[in-house]
Parts: sequence; C-alpha cells; structure tokens
Amino acid sequence: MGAILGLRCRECGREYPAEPIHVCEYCFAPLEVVYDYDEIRSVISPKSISEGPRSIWRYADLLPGGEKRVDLGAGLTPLVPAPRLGAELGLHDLWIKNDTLNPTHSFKDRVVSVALTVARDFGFNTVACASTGNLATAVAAHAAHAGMSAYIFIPADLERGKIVATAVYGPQLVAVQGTYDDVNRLCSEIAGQFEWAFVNVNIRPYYAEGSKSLAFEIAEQLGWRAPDHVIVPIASGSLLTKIRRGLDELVKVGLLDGHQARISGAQAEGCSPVATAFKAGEDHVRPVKPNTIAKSLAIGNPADGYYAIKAARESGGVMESVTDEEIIDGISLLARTEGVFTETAGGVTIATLRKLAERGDVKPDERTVALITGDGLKTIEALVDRAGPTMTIPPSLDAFAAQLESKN
Amino acid sequence: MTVDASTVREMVADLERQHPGIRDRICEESGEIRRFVNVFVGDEDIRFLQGLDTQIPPGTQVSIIPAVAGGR
Repeated sequence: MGAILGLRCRECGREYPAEPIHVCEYCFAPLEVVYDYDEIRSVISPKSISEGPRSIWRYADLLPGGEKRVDLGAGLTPLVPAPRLGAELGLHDLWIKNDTLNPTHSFKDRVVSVALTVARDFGFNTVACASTGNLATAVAAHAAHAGMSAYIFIPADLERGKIVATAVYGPQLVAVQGTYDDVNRLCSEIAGQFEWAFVNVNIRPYYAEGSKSLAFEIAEQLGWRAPDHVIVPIASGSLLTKIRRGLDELVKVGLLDGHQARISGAQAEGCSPVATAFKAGEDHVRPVKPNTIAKSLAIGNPADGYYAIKAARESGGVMESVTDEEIIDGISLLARTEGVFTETAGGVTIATLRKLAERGDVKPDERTVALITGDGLKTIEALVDRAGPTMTIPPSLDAFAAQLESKN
Repeated sequence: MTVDASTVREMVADLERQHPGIRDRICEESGEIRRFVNVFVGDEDIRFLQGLDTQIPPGTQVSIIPAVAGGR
C-alpha cells in the first residue's frame, strides 16, 4: 500500500488500519489517509519525481496504492499560459491546467487510477461507482484496462455522449430514475450489501487522494513553486480540499519552501450549496435540488462541502456561483481565446474567474491557475444552439464570394 | 424508541439516561451535535432550526442519521 500508515478520522482523530472503510465508526466523520512524511521527505526529490512515470504515479510516494498500478496514463496534463484570456479578464499571469487531456478526457482518471490500484491491492475483482458521467467513464475504462468487472450507477437523464462513452467499455451500466443524490443514496445501500469496491464509498479515502496530483503537477510545472491563486470547480468539494492538502504536503516533504496559495471555489447557480454557505459565512451546507446545465457539478448534498469552505476560508480564497448563461459564455470565451474546449464544469470555472477578476478578488498580478477538469465534447448539448456554421452556401465559388462580401 | 423531551437538548439527555454512552457518540464535548451526525425534527435538519434548542412538539418523529460521505 505504498508508504501510508493507515487512516485517520478527520474529526475525532481515531486511527484505523488501511482497509476498505470510509467512515469513523465512532463519530461518523470521513476518514483520511495518513502518511509518514518524514520517511517520504528522505526519499522524494525533484529528481526522483522527474525520473518517474509520465503519469500521476510519478508522485507515488504521496499516493496510496502499491506497485501493481492500474495506469492508463492519467495526469501530467499541460499547464499552459493563457495570455489572451488573461487580457480579456485583466489578468497578467493567468494559466490553464488543461485536464481535458486525460485518457477519458476528465480529471476523474486521476482519482480512478488510484482507486482501482488500491481496490486491487485489497483483493477486489469488482468495482462500482455512482456518477454523473465523468467518473462513470473513467471507472469503465480503467476497469476494462485492469480486467475488472464494473457496476456503474448513473442518473437516467445523463447526456447521451457520457452514456455512450461509458457503455462502450462494457461495464454493467445501471440507469437510475432519479437525481445524482438519489443514485448516491442508493449506492450507499448497495455498498452495504455487496462486497464490491465502491470507488466513491468504501474506497473514497484513497480515491480522493488522487486529486492531489493536480496540485503536485502545477507546482512541478511552475518549477517547484506554488501558484498565488487556484480556481477550482466544486461538486462534492473534495477536489478543492485536496488541492490545498497537496500543496501543504509538498511543504511537509520539502519540495516547496512554503506556499500562500489562495484556493477559490466555483459553482453553478442552479446547484450552489457550498458557495451559498460560504457567502453567508456559515460552515454547514444546506442541501439543494440541482437544476443546472453543469451536470458534472450537480451534487445537491456535497460530502466535503464543509471542508471545502474551510480550505477556501483559511487560504484567503473566496467562492462564487454563475448562471447557466454565464457558463456557456465561459465555455465560448475559453475556446475563442485559448483554443481549449471545456465541458460545462470548465465553463463554471472560467465564468467564476471572470466574476472574481471583475470584482478584484483575483488580482491582476497574481499567478492564477484555472482548473479545466473536463472536455467540451462531453457536453456539446450545452452549445448546439450557440455554435454552428457561420455561413451555409451551395458548392460554388460565386456563392462563397457573395456571402463573404455580405459579411464584410 | 420514545423519549420524554420538549427540545433536542432534553432529548439527548433522556437518550443518555436510557442508553448511557450514546451522548458521546452523537455530541461533541461542548454538547453540540457532531458535524457528521444529522438530527431531523420531522423533515427538517435542526441546524436550520434552533439547533439543540429546537422544540419537539408532542408525538413528533425525530431521526438521528449519520451523514454518509459520498459523491464524486
């Protein structure tokens, strides 16, 4: 299981051995993986990492999971400067972390690669998940690669592209007539009945650790320096929490001298329980019924909402939400200015970034990284009315010349 | 089970009387309900009512449910 010491309750601190469990049996709080940072510090270095695999597993010392990895090549995606988008938003040092370039085109490949590696270490042959699409696709692909059986539970009204892109890998794909929160609740019950590795239930403490690799890569790609500000989309809140934990760990093991990165969160107005609580100055997230085109972020009852709020607040970050219209504008803006086509979740990130920049919450000279977590081809439905041919002509040169004339 | 209480605070005290040790499972040392325990009076989470001082009308059903961590 790598260099991990075990699991620890995030609230009461009780310790547990590394097993497929996710909740403290005493106080019901989530469990988190514990590492021996002194030991890791003695073996890890920029050199050891740069000599590692070209995937998230170059950071294996800071991830759970043994040597027999389920690795489709997730991670090490480009971190690119975004000067044209920056100019539109008045930001002078803006970067895009382009996680659309993962094996199944979303950041979920990171968490799933870790989850399936750990599941296999535990001896499971069957993996399962509740998902709104990106996780479903990532689990299906990695299970196929590893020769494991997969049961995947999705809301029945998911985008067709996500259903096809999951079904093609041959899992048992169960369409549940309900919202994601209904699917999630059902899976908690199923997980109690069947001896399966549910990546986001009993394997969740390990699975969630995979998200830290985004923070590790950003620091490595900036020459082992932390950014000043990271803009993170929020669904369950886990990613935002893990970005902070990842940067903190790099300090603990001596790869960063320190960091003052502000972590800010982005939500869709049609499902913004975390941003709403943050803005009201509260800790507790009041569940909502989602209604937004950003389906990959539509968790009405986010498990890590409390921790995301805490991480944003303690780091000096903020949270904001944006309308569906702003999300679509965000997708178009990013594509037009930087040549990166993102799904609706990335539209949420860009639209929120725009709002925060206008307000001065993202400062012009801050080195800011926006996380683009999924590919636009996953949610083309969102843009079909907005993106199409700019002219339609018969196959004749005269017709083209006439159209061009009338346009200019 | 049935308890003799008119507020959530009294309910916790009566539960502890009937089942010693249960208070520590659902409450912090400060007495507040633990972060990952949800208490519903009727259908409403007491965090969005008056917390421990939430009134429990006679005959009302109160549910104590661990918040099951999940999500993508």
